[in-house]
Amino acid sequence: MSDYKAKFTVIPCAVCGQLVDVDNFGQGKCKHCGWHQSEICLEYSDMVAYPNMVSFNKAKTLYKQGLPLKPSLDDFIEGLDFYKEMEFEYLGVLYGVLWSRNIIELGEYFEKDPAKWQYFDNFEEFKQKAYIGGKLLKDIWDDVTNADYMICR
Amino acid sequence: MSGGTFEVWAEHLEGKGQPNSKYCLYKPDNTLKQIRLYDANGYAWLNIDFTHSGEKHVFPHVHMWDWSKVKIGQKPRGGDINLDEIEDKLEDWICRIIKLNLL
Repeated sequence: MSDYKAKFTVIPCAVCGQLVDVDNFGQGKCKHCGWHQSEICLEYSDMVAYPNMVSFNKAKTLYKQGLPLKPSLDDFIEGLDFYKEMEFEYLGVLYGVLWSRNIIELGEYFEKDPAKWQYFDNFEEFKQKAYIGGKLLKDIWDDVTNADYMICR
Repeated sequence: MSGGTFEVWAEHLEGKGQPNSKYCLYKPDNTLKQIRLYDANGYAWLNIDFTHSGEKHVFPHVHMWDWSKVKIGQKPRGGDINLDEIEDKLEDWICRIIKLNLL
């Protein structure tokens, strides 16, 4: 087994222009704006594609407006459609969203009780009916933080 | 350069890697949390997850990547293939292989 030793070079970030370290496949996260350098995201510039949570074109617009590269609920769902397993934080609590076998599940990340998870048949139902603490997720989405692809913890 | 197995201590693995390779992602305490396989073009094609959220999930389990939405090159993945069925079979095979300590 080999050690992982990526060869880093420095390039200007595709979104903000600040210098960013990238590996030998051109991948690396910009410490200034948060954009992950990715040839796929550049080529398909209107799509949400791993590892970014907003499209390249939207990222450029947000950056020009001085806004963080935060995904909308629709962006998050587009990411879920691709990656199947997502996470976000709300009021300091980490939540998991998983899509498998045509069921979407939402619950606190480390919750083991099935009764405390919510289940949805499709993305639209998730978007319209998912809730946290009695509030619809779509109504509190502006207060959601760290919405991203799920990290194995 | 192609092939190989790489050990990674990071938050996550990337979408592209060494073609025909395997990357093993570890926690700081050296617990294995994910394996990602990359295809001949260096695109991720399979995840094997050893731990994460979700009370319905058994571990390890597998996920196939579906790059068909972005139509990489001339060879889109997915298409009419039922990925769930393939994942079920792969999961079964991989669990057996892991039990045999062959992976």
